[in-house]
Amino acid sequence: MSIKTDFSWKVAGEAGYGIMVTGDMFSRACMRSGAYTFDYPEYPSLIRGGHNTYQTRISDREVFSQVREVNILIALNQDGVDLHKDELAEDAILIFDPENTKTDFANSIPLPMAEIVAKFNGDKIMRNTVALGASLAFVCVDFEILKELIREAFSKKGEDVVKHNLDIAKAGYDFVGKKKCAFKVPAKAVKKKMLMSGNDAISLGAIKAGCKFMSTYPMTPATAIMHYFAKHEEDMGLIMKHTEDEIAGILMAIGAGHAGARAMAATSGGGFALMVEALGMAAMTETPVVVVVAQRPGPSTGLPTWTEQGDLRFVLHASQGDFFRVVLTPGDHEECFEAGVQAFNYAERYQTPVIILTDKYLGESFRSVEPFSFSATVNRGKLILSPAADYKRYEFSDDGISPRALPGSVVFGVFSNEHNKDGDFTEDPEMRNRMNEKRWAKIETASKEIGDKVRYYGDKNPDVTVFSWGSTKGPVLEAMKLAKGLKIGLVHTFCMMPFPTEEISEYLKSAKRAVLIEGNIGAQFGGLIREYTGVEIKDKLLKYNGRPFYPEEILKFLKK
Amino acid sequence: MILDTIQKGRKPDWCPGCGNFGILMALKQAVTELKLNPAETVLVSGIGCGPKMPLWIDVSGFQSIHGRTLPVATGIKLANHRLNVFTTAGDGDCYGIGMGHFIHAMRRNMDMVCIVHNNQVYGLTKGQTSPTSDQGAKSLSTPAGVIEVPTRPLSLAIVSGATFVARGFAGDAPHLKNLIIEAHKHRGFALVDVLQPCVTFNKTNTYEWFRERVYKLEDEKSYDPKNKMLALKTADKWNTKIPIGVYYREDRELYSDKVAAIKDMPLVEQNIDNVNIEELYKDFY
Ligand SMILES: Cc1ncc(C[n+]2csc(CCOP(=O)(O)OP(=O)(O)O)c2C)c(N)n1
Ligand code: SF4
Ligand SMILES: [Mg+2]
Repeated sequence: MSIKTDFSWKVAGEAGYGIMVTGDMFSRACMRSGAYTFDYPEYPSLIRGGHNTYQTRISDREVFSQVREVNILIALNQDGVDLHKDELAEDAILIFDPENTKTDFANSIPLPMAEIVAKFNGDKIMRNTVALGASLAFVCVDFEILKELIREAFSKKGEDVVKHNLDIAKAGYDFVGKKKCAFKVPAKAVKKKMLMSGNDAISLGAIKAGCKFMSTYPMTPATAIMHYFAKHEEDMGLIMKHTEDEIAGILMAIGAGHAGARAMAATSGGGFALMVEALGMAAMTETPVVVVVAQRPGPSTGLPTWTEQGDLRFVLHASQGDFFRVVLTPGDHEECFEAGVQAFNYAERYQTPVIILTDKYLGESFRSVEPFSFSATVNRGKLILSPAADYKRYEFSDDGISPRALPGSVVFGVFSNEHNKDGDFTEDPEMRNRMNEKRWAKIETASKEIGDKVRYYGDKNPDVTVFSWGSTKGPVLEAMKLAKGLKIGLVHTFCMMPFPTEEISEYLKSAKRAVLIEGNIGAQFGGLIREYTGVEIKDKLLKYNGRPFYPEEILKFLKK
Repeated sequence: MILDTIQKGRKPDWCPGCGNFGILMALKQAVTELKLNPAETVLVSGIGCGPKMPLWIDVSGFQSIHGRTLPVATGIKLANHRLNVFTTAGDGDCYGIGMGHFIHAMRRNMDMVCIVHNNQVYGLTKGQTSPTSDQGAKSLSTPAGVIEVPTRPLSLAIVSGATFVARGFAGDAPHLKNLIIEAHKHRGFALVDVLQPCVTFNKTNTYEWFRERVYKLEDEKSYDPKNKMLALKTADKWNTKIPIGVYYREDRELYSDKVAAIKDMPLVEQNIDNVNIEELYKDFY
């Protein structure tokens, strides 16, 4: 039997029973042992009682998405078997607790989790620790690595707690012993890697860029960004304000931005809906602000803890009037970091809102990454610290961008009403035109200045060219790896506004077969492509059931 | 500070006789008397007749949107606590659409002065009723009269954690000026609700109506603004006698006193040129 070094492990069971922690530790142990990992947790919108899963893909090469097939399934209850048996690969093994679960799956291993926990006088909730120990034994990860992780996780709670967890994990590990296993974590730890979510990567990017202020309101799947900022308020000199609502969230960020701090808010579609009026105020007053919008399926409350790409049109058009906003649509964790950094440069350079559009899948999937190589210097655009006495906030300029002073340095006003270059109200038709045109000119300026709006991956001469954006990137890249014989190219859009019209037109012209893949029912990106290039991509794969794309289904579609 | 009402070559476009002239004059005189540096003084406004004040006063301004003055002002103040922050809002602005922000701003106790032009109508949108309109008040939006009871902003402020609660009268600018000065000197969130006759749309609560009723709290020897229960009782006075002056004051730590990031210097003065995130990577190994 050949030993697989690219496989998927999944733990499934009732919410509240430590599924997330088990998954995180399993993945981290494999990563420390040398593997590349990609993790995707799924959970319903409740804290206890629902069905949770944590799936991690382990490989000896870098991986960009989960796959549908599971090779090792840990079922903590009957649902853990019933809801996932059709995901099991041919060579899969199923590990279950005979005390609460029955199965007729041939290749299954009863692991007496409850019994082992009881032997050590542990709480039932610690069954996951047995499963963790057993899982790592199955894939040949050195117990020392788990020991270290348990120590890190529980040392704050005292030596007794550490020992208790270690004993139980060891019992699980030893139960499996040196049993033959078809899966093995590749043990070639060359570089130190980090296990990080898209939300984490955005937070790090923002902090790197000098973002000092976040004000926002919790909303899945963006909440982790708020938590990260709050955790690092003291050591990184940040302010994180949990506001009364999202309206106040974006407004405070705009206030802080006006005063001169790099500032942001982070939310999902529903929270963004509340921010819409203030978004236009930022554009009219020409105040920099960054908003992360992590999508989940709508309309309304929708599927609060699942994924979709249904808010693209919303963020592009949100708020009354015509105005320019930058919209970045990162596709993986490195691009989340890049967007996190660049958003603040763009917001100050163009003095307008910048939106980073992600989703549950990207924001809450964890991948093993190396320290980020992307770097950009802080660009504060036309900020002037010592303005002259005759300073004019809205001075005309060819690039549409006026010199920006900060309150404290000179007397000036900013106005949400239409205004003249002094910042005084005006309803004069000529002045209205000139001001509107000044702000509108930023699109062309930004379009010229922002590079790499579209990124190409895959075969130079593909049989099929995929057009996608945001988090769909990972599953398409993995479909490429699975494809034997079919040459796939991916045109991935990282910057949606200014829209990369020329780049996409070129790729459309040379495509033998163009396919649109995106996670919404309305083919929103497809509509934009048609609007900007005149080309309609009829050949499209759309998904909108709350689940991310799987490489297998993408490949199946492309092979059609 | 140019005390004339003509500023930047423009006269305020309020109706002749509008109470807002008195408020603008009082604010200008207060800023002058306090010797505030106009560049370091930011007046944040909402939308309404009263909130047009930033147009006609020689300090820095931020005209935000209807109801949203306080969060913008809070963001400005948190980012640069050296700035003097004043807000100007209508009663619809602050007690209607912006009520949520109002309550939370008071809990928070940031150091700022919140001026509310309380004319008991929506002036700019042509006279509909506002949250402070009396029960039964008729308007285009309530032809049969307001059914609800009015909001009592001062009572609300006292129970919501405001640390300085005052009421002025636009018809007594010198007194209002002193209130604004005191409000600014107070370390914390200071509400100055101003009884502001709207000569065009409010034919009930006129200058005369107010003159017959207002009296100064400071003339009442026994009044102690530190007495919360007394302040609450006083805040309920309306129909026959309306006190003006400082209703309530309390010393309480500022929100910003507890924010670690700004202990040594304002947030905007921190160097952001090359933030080191190496330490943060350690969370993820
Ligand atoms: C979100 C929003 N809703 C409605 C309006 C229209 N509007 C402008 S001012 C105003 C009410 C003004 O009343 P108030 O705040 O009491 O100020 P006043 O004009 O009386 O000084 C309204 C409803 C708006 N500008 N924005
Ligand atoms: S409508 Fe009323 S509040 Fe507005 S300017 Fe005229 S008098 Fe003043
Ligand atoms: Mg009013």
